[in-house]
Amino acid sequence: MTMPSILVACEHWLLQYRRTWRGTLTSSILAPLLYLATLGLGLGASFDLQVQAHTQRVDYVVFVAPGLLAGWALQTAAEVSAYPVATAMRMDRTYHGMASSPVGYRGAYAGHLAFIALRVAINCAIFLAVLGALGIVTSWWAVVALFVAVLTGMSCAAPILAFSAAITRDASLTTLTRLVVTPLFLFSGIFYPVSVFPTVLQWLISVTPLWNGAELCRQLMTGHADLRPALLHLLVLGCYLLLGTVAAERMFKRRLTL
Amino acid sequence: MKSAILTDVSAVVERNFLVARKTWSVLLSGMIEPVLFLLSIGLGLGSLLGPVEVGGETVPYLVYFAPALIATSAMNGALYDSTVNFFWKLRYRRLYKQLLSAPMNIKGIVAGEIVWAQLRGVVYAVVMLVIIGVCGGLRSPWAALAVPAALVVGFAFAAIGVAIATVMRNWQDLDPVRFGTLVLFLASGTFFPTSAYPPAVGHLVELSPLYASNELVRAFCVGRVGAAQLLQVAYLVALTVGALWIAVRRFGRLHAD
Amino acid sequence: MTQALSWGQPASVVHARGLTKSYGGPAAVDGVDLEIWAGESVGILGPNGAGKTSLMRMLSCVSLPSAGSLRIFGLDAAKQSRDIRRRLGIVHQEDILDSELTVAENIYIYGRYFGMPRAVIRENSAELLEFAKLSDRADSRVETLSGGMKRRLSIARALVSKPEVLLLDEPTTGLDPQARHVLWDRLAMLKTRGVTLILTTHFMDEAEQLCDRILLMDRGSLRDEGAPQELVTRYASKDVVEIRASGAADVSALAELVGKIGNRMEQLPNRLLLHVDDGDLALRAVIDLGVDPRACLVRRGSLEDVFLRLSGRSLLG
Repeated sequence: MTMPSILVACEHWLLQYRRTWRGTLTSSILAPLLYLATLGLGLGASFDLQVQAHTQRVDYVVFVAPGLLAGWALQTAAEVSAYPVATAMRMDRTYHGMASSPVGYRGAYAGHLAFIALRVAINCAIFLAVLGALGIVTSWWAVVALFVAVLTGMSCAAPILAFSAAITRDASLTTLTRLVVTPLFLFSGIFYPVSVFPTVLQWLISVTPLWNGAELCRQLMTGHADLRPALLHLLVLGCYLLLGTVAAERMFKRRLTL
Repeated sequence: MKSAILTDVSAVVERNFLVARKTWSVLLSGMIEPVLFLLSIGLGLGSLLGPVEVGGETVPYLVYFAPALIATSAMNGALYDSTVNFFWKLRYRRLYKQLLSAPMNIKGIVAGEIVWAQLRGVVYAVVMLVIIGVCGGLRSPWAALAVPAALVVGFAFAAIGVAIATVMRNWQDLDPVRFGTLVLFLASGTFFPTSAYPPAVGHLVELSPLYASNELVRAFCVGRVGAAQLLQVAYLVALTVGALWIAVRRFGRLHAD
Repeated sequence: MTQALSWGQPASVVHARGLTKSYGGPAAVDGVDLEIWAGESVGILGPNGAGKTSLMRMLSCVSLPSAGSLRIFGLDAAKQSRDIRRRLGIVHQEDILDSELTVAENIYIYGRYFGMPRAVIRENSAELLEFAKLSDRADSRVETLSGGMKRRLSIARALVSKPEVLLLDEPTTGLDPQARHVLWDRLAMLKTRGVTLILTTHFMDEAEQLCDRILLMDRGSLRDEGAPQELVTRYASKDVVEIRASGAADVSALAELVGKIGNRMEQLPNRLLLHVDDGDLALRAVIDLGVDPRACLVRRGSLEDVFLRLSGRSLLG
């Protein structure tokens, strides 16, 4: 696998995106802002809610915003690495074309992952810019949070991509959304501190990629990041990315070369 | 030809049932989403939130929020079936070309699709009601009426969905529909009262069909039923009739060539 | 049942006068007069774009005539379409089957669309599967069937309601030769049972095999009609000598050379057709004139020749 082959595969998705990006504006740009406006601002104001974020109590919207940043990294990753991957594997057979060209099966998945990283980065950067413009985020550490958000997105995208490449029925993707993506989004401490849950559940949540990503983003964006816990969060995210990539490698090899 | 319509409706329902028998797990897992929201937002976030006033009575957040999930899942189920499934059959699978080759009529087919969606909606509503009851979100025996209320909601959104499906040109046209649904879900008094909005925005939100739906189901679940509910039912029925009128006209045009 | 009441004259199944369909542009079907009798097997023959499918859609009562009158079973197609469709079996050009259901379920639910009682459908179903040679595939998903099987299922399904008339739009287009013969065999069986068959095709062999009467259609109107052999004798000769050429210039040179042989000559872009009474005799004359025998072919006159004569265009062209 060489750098150019990843770029070529990535370019394929970029070309397609150039035709369809308008249609994704609602789901990728407006939807997180809608969550922010209603759940963050609306609900926060309605109940005059303040929440504990580490050492300080903050307005609810300040708590929710970093969570939504990481949460939308997951949603974007899921959007780009589920149906498009399954379609390219089984319907359009785009990957087969790539695999039989010099791009190879490795270039096929690595290029798609690169494209996903780009999509996550764009969506999260815009969301972050709006947060800055609204004055919800003031710390410059937020720039680092953007990188954490992209890493969070990728740590979710790699396993989802491997799964979507492996399935044989589209209904499995519906199951993935309902049993994995939505539960992650709702229970990973995006909307409230996980301390409301029983201890066992808290442990379980603390190994999910989204909780680690959301926690680290929140620490960075409220300006309270400590090195040691930060490294631990990064380590968890890195593990998911690594395992997901290994799974994707095996799945693409099996379906495209054997 | 009343009996003709009944034949058409029962044939469409039977056809959908034959298909659903094979994909029941997908149907079943459709109920998971509202349950997740109930647990995460209703119980989880709810534990941090103060009480809410409903019809003059102060209730815990869970009691306020849970009924909206019945209305929302009635909306989502009806819209999904009538836009995604209906559009798929209309344009791509040409299922209706088969039905129209048989002695079936457009009105009967549209009615059959909507009745099917509603049968599913009733099952969803009953299951949600039981789960909410188990979580302690119900206050009064009036709550049983939340099921027919969900039916009224379902009919309204099914009719709206079918009307939308007949004007859709391609799958990309579904994106604004999905986003519109999300806007309704998040903004229409589902998670918090409209009093949080500036008055102008608040009044606008109160025109949303989901707002009327949420308030209707909520009134029954909390047990504070009044004249406002008649108005909400009338509003939803009017929407149903209007949307159906559009749907039948458009559908006829699509298939008459 | 309106048919078979009087001995001398069979009942009219289709009665059309000035039947017209236009989609905005030039009329797809342009003022067609048509009479089809019960028990007949009628083929509508014409090239792509002749208006066959539009005509069939009107006969199926799924599309309304733009002008003219159409009565089927003596009922008005514009007003009593539901009552007419109850008595029709329709097989679409593309197999529009219910891909989410199995073979047997497709037949079953189609019967339900006709409002038939469940028990009656189940009773008929085994026989229909047998007829379509699909008994061992009853529980297969439709997607797994071959093209020929799908087409047979389409026909079996259309027969579930025991229709008096079966409408088939290009029943064997896209099928391999073997599958076509199986299908022709099945349709011939229906014909002997007294089902009225109305089919469109652009294959003359199919029309000759299946039809008592051929309607030649081109550019929206009927050009002529008759029994296959009748049409051949009327418009073509008994035999045809075909001479292959390498181009238009070559064809004109050949025409110059052999022009006096036979009753009539047809110049095509890369072929020359000589309509003759005795093929072998004519062939010898052609070879005597110095034409390479390997470029020559003698065959019987066919509907293709009839069509070429009438419209100046090839059926498959």
